[in-house]
Amino acid sequence: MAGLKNNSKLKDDLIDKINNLTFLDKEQWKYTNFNYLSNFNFDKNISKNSLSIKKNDSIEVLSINDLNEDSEKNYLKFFNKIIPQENKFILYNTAYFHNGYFFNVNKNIDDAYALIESNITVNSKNNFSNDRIIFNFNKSSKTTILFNEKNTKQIKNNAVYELFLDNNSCVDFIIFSNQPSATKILNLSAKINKDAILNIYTINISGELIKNNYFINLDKQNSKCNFNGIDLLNKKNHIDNYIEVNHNNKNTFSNINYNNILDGYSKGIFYAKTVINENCSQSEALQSNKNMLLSKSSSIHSNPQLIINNDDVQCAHGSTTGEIDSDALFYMQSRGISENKAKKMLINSFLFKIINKMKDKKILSSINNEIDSWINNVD
Amino acid sequence: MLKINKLNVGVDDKNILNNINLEINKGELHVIMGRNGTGKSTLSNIITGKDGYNIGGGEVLYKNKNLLDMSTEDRALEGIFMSFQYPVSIPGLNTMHFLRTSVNSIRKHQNKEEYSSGEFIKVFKEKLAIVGLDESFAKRSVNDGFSGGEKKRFEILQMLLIEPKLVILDETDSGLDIDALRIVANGINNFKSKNNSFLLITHYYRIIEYLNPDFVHVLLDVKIVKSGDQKLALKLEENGYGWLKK
Repeated sequence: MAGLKNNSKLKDDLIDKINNLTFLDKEQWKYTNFNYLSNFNFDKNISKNSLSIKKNDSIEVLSINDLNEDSEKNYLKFFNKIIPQENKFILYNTAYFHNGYFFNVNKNIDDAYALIESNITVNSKNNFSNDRIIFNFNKSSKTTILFNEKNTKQIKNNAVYELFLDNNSCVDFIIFSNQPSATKILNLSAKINKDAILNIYTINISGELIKNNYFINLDKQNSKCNFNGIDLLNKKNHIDNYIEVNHNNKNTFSNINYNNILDGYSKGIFYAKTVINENCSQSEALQSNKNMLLSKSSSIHSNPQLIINNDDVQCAHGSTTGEIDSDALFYMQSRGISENKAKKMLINSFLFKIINKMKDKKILSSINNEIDSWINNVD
Repeated sequence: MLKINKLNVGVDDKNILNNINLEINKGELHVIMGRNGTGKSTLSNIITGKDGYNIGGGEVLYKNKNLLDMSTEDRALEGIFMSFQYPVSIPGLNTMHFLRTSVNSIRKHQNKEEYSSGEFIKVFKEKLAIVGLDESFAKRSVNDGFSGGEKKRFEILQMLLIEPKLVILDETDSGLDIDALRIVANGINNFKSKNNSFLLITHYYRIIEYLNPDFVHVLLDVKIVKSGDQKLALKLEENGYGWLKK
C-alpha cells in the first residue's frame, strides 16, 4: 500500500506525537499500569505473524499490500477516520501496522460470514505485532464476524479495528479470546448509520494483560448497539475494558451488558461511558455490569457512567459485585444438587444470559464448551 | 419419619424456638399455624438445613438418623423437600436443565435409573398438566419473571417430580388466587399417600379445608402452645390467637 506505509513524513509526525503522549493521559487508562510496556517494541515487524481468514463469497477481503489504485482510494475513505488520535497505542498501530486487511461486505445479503484466527509466532518476547482491520458493512447486509483467538504463546498484540455499518445493516461481531499468556491491546471504533444494528460479543477467558477500548458512535437515527461482554479471570489475569458509546442522533439505542467472573488474584476493570448528546431525543441507553468474585484476592473496579444532555431520553445504569448468591445455592442444594455442581450451574447461568442472543448457535455452542471447561476448573 | 425433641434455636442472642417437640409419622399431614414472626419458617429452615441458626439444644431425627449432622444436599437426597415461601429467581438457568439435574441426582442416590432427556420430557409434561402450567415453562429460567402463583405451582411441580418422603410446605398458599389455590391443593392431594408425610405452615383455613390434616399445632411466642385436629384450625380462623393466651 502506497498511501501510508511509504509516507515517511506522516510517520515522523506520528512518532513525534507518540513521544509527547504519556500512557496515562486519559481516565480510561488510569486503572492499569502501562509504564512497563515502555520496554517493549511496537515498531519491529514480526515476520511470521499472519491472520488466517475463512469467509464466504458475501465478503471481499483485501490485504493492504495488494490494494490497487481503485481499492486503495476506497480504503482511504475509511482508514483512520473514526479511531481516536490521542491514544499512543493507536498511533503506534497507524505508524507501524503490518497486518492490514480491508473487509468489504456486499449489500443486500443476509449470510455474510468470516472467521479470523491469529497465528502469531513469537520471535521476540519484546515485540508487539500491530494488526489493522477495516470492516465496511454495506447497506442491508447481515453479517457474522468471529475472531477466534486461542494462542497459548506469550504473544503481544496491538490491534485496531474500524467498523462502518451502512444503513440497515446488521452485524454480530464476536471476539472470543482464550490466551492465558497474551498481552493484548485492542482499540475498536464503530460508526453506525441509520437503522443499522451492531451486536458486539466479547468473551475473554484468561489473559496476562488485556486492554480493550471500544468507541461506538450511533451517528444516524434508529442506529443501535447491543454490547455483550463476559470475562472469566483467574490467577493473575488482568483485564481492563473501556466502553464509550456516543449517541449522536435521535432515536438511538444502546445496551451494555457486561458480566465478569474473577477467581485467584485476578483483577478486572469495567469502565463504561455513554454520552447522550443534546440533539438526541427519544434515545435509550442502558448499562449493566455484574461481577462475581470467587476468591478473596480477586478484585473489580466498576464504573458505569451516563452523561445525559437531553431531557427526553430513557437511561438506566447499574453495577453489582458479590459472591455466588447463597440463597440460590441453598435452593439448589435443597433440590439434591451438590454444592460444587450448583456453583458451576450458577456461574454458567450468570454468563449464559449475556451471550445467548448470539444468532449463530454453532458458534454459541462452541464458546459454551470453552466456558464450561473454564468453569470445571473452578474449585 | 420426623421426630423433634426439645429443640431450642436462636439467632445471635435471640431465642427463636424454645423446647419444640413434634413427631410426624408416615402418612400424616401436620399443620403449623401462628402469628407472623413466631418461628414457623425457622422450623422449616432447620429441617431443610439452612445456615445461620444456633442450635441451643435438642435433636431432630429423620428416619431415626440425626438430621442436624446432614448437609442440605444429603437431606434432599434422603427425601426431604421444602416448598419455599419465597422461591429464588435464577436468571439464565433453564428450568428443564435445573429440574432434570435435581431429579436425576436424587434418583441416582436412590439407585433408580436416571431419566434420559426424552423420558424426562414425558414425565415433565405429565406433571406440568397436574399443576396447570404450560409447556413454555421448559424454555424459561428458574423462577425468573414468574408471577407469585407460578412460583408456587413450580414448587409443587418439583415436589411431584422429585417424589420426596417428607414435604415441608412453607406458606405455599400465600398469595394464591382461588383457582391457583385449588390447583396447588389438588397437586398436593394427588401426591399424598400413606408412604409420605407433610408439614404445612399456613395462616389460612382455606388450604386446610382442601388437605384435611391429621394434626394442627399452634406456635406462639417461640413454643408450640396447643395441638389438636382440624377443628382447632377452624377455631383459630374464627377467633384469632388471643384466646390461647388466657
